[in-house]
Amino acid sequence: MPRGEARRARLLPALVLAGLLLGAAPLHAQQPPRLLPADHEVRGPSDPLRIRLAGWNADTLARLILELDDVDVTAVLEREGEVLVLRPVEPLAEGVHHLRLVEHTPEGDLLEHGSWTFEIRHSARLREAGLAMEGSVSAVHRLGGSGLGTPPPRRGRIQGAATFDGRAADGDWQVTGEGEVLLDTDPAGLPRGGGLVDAGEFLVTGRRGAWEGRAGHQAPLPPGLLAGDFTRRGLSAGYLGAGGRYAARAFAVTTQEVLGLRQGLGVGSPARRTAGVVFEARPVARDPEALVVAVTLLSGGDPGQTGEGVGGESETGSRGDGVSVAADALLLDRRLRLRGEAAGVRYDFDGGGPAAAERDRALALLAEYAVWRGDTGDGTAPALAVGVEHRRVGTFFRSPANPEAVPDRELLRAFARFNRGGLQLEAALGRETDNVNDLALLPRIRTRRATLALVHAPEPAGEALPWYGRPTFTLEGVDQERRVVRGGAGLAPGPFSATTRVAFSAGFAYPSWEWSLAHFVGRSDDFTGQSAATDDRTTEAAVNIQGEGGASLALSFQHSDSRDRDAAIDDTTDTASLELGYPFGERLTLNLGITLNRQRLSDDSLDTRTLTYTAAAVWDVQGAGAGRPGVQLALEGTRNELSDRVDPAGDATSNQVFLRLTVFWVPGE
Amino acid sequence: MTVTGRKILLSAVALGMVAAAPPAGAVVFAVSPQPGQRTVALGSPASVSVAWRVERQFSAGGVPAGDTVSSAAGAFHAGSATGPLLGTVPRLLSQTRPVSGALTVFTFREAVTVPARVIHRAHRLGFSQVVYVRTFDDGFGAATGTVTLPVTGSGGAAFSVARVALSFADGSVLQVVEPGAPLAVQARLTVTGSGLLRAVWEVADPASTAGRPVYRVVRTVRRHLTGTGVQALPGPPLPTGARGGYRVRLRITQPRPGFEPPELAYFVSGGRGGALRSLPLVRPAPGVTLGPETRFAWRAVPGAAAYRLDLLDATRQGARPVTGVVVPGERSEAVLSAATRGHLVPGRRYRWRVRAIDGQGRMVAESEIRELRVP
Repeated sequence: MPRGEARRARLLPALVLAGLLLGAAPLHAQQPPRLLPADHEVRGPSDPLRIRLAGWNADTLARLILELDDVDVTAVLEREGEVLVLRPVEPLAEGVHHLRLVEHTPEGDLLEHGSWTFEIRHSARLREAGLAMEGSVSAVHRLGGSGLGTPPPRRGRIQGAATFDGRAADGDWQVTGEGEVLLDTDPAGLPRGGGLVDAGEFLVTGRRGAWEGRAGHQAPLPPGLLAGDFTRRGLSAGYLGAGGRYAARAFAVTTQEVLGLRQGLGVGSPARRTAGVVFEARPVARDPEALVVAVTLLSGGDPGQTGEGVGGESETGSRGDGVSVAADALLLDRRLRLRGEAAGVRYDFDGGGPAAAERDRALALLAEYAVWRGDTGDGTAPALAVGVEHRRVGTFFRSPANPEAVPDRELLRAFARFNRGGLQLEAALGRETDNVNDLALLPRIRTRRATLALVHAPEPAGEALPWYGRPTFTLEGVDQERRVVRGGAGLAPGPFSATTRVAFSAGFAYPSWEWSLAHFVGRSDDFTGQSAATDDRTTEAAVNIQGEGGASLALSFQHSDSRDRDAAIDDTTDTASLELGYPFGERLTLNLGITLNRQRLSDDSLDTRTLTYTAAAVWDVQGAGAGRPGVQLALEGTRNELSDRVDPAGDATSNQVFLRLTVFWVPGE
Repeated sequence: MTVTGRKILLSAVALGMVAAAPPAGAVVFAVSPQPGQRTVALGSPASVSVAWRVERQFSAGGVPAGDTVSSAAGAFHAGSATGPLLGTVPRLLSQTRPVSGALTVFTFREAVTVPARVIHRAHRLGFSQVVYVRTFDDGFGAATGTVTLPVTGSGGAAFSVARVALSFADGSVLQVVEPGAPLAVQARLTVTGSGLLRAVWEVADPASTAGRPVYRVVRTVRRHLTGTGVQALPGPPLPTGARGGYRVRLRITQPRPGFEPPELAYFVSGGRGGALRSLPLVRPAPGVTLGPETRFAWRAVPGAAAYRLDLLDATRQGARPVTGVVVPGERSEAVLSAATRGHLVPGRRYRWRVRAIDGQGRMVAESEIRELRVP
């Protein structure tokens, strides 16, 4: 054999073996997942998404979780051989979307196998573009009425309301807008009290890269010592850097809740606005939620008018400035949560009047530890968290962004939360004192409060629903005692007040109906004589049935007994309500409602009864669809009877019957 | 002057004397308020409900009297009725009752808001109390009544509701929703002291708001409030069956506040003619802590091809869902996977809801929004 042929003969078996191995590798080795391209040049909003998983074994496939925009869609996946197919249950919105494929390993870890970003585009020019409006307009004519006062309301009226939602985006910029528009020929029906058209809430947001600007109703401040539930109209601009780990936002909003086309964006007058900046940082790159630090500075004026949906007088002409630093940390594998916030304010109660501005401080500390997290995976392990909270708010601590807060409190509270299966338990014990600034003219009150909340929602043992349905039980209790520990303002050391409240409820749900019962008892004692000592008992019951074909029935009853032990007077109130709905065919629906409310005092100084009847016959002339508005005709009426047995001169009855024609439309499909 | 002229003149004088003769003698001589004293907290406004008892004494041949007893305004003074003036309440109280009998008792009921700046000013002037003063007058005599308001810390104030803020579940103050959409209202009460709150939630339906709004009681509130501060009061599910404008309000009867009940408007509009239904939730109950085997369950809706469970950050209004789960229509419950739980921040509150989606990708039912907490 020639030398070359001999050499080839020695290598041949190795080559054959190598070829077999290389050829066999794709048949048994797990390949990285691959998102397959769209069926068309541009991926459509309802186009299926396909991920090829070549060489994956069944065990691994069973542990996979697929997320679309952080929503778990595993349950609606299909398999076509080696391909996972996701058919979106809703058309995807125009814009950028994310897919993520992870495996929940037997050890309990999450292993990411793949992550993809794709676009749903409106057109070649714009990634997103759209404007949708949904609403209705009604022409209402009062056919008849009585007892409507003098002068009676106008007979005819046109009312309407619509929501709009628009967006445009491409590249690194995006503009979105949403809002509400109102129409009413009666100016009193509009938020601004005048005109024909008015605005409800709205928000326009523009983003370019890391920059963002907003105009409209927004919540620019995180909740804390300086700000409560602070959603207002105004302007803000922000920057989000380092993948969202650093943020800065400047804002100027109305101090009061504003609706309607008035006061513009509410930022023109310093006496009516609150402005400031917020800085937020997540300095731990590998775990952004491990530590969050926020700094807030604000300054605001209160015009002294109450906002939309608010009762109570605000401080006329007051002004305030505030600064706050907060840190929130998750340590020890996220078992331990530590939160601290310190704030300082300068508040002028009469806004430049004779009284000088006050400076004061507040501090809030929280520590919470998860003793058991119940994360063994078998669902039987309990979860237990314990914690302690300390909060100190100075006597003159007020912020224009937190008008509802009550200052002058020092609280120390311990709490625990437990849950296992369908059982949840929360308990807390706290002590609070006032006169935080130790003012000589003021007394000092110490409060002890204990709370308990229990929820039990047992899971049915088998697939079939038991005869009692799916039950949910709740039990809540509060016990509070107050004592004067330092006298002043006419109060002597000793007991001040005591309050106890217990509430129990049970609900039972079935496939097409549900019912519930609740009972509350409470007792309150005032040892200073300022308020009456009272006992209270309230019982509620309700049934709700949704029949096939659209029929419905809702029945509720509430009985309440309150006793003023000092005056020996009982206050009894009964409220009952019945609502029926029944369809006659596909187009006609009849709705009936009756509400009874009766209140009486045992000393016969009050005995009133109110009976309200409502009825409506609604005919769907045509339903709304693509390019076609819906039309509905309704005959509706109300009768209200007020009976005062103590002062019959106060009896009153009113009736109103209307014919309503409504045209409504929905976003295009 | 002629004889006729003198007669006319004398007759006129006689008629004038008759007309000018006092009908009786009466005078406002005693004013006693109830309560006579209520503590108020430094740094916070207070609401005080006062019943003024005004006595008018009748005596024939005495001081002339008027049928109308009135008080033009109330005033806040520091320390005593003659102390420095801190503010006024320009509210007229007036009643008219003909003079008759020996004694007539008038009762004027008034709910007064004591501004925080008034209490603060009194304290800074070195006074331990504010005095609210009203003078009642029948045009011929007057008497003054005072209510003493000792200043305490936040824990020592009498039970009162200083502020009520209504909003819908997402924090908005106006809603435009589709027919049948779930909608809930809530109230945040700023309270001092503790005691029994009596209030009613009332709704006016489109069948009356198009004319004279008729409010019907949908829930009575009897609740012992404890703890000074902000108290959250959830309201009842609101009716959204009929298209049109609705109004909802919380009317507090005790402790009587010094302001009109706030109200919100919402509109039921658009929709497909009743296609969007309410999706009843079964579990978990509102406000629970998320557990390792918490199962989200709801009642199946006809026509649903899939359900989507959304979890939203409760601290951010109007934000997109943080995470969620999609399940096929034959299932009516869901459990959060480890990946889904990984998007939730421990210690944070979240809102959640379920939406039913039909085979064409349209939402056909939506549940109410509930809250939960992540341990």
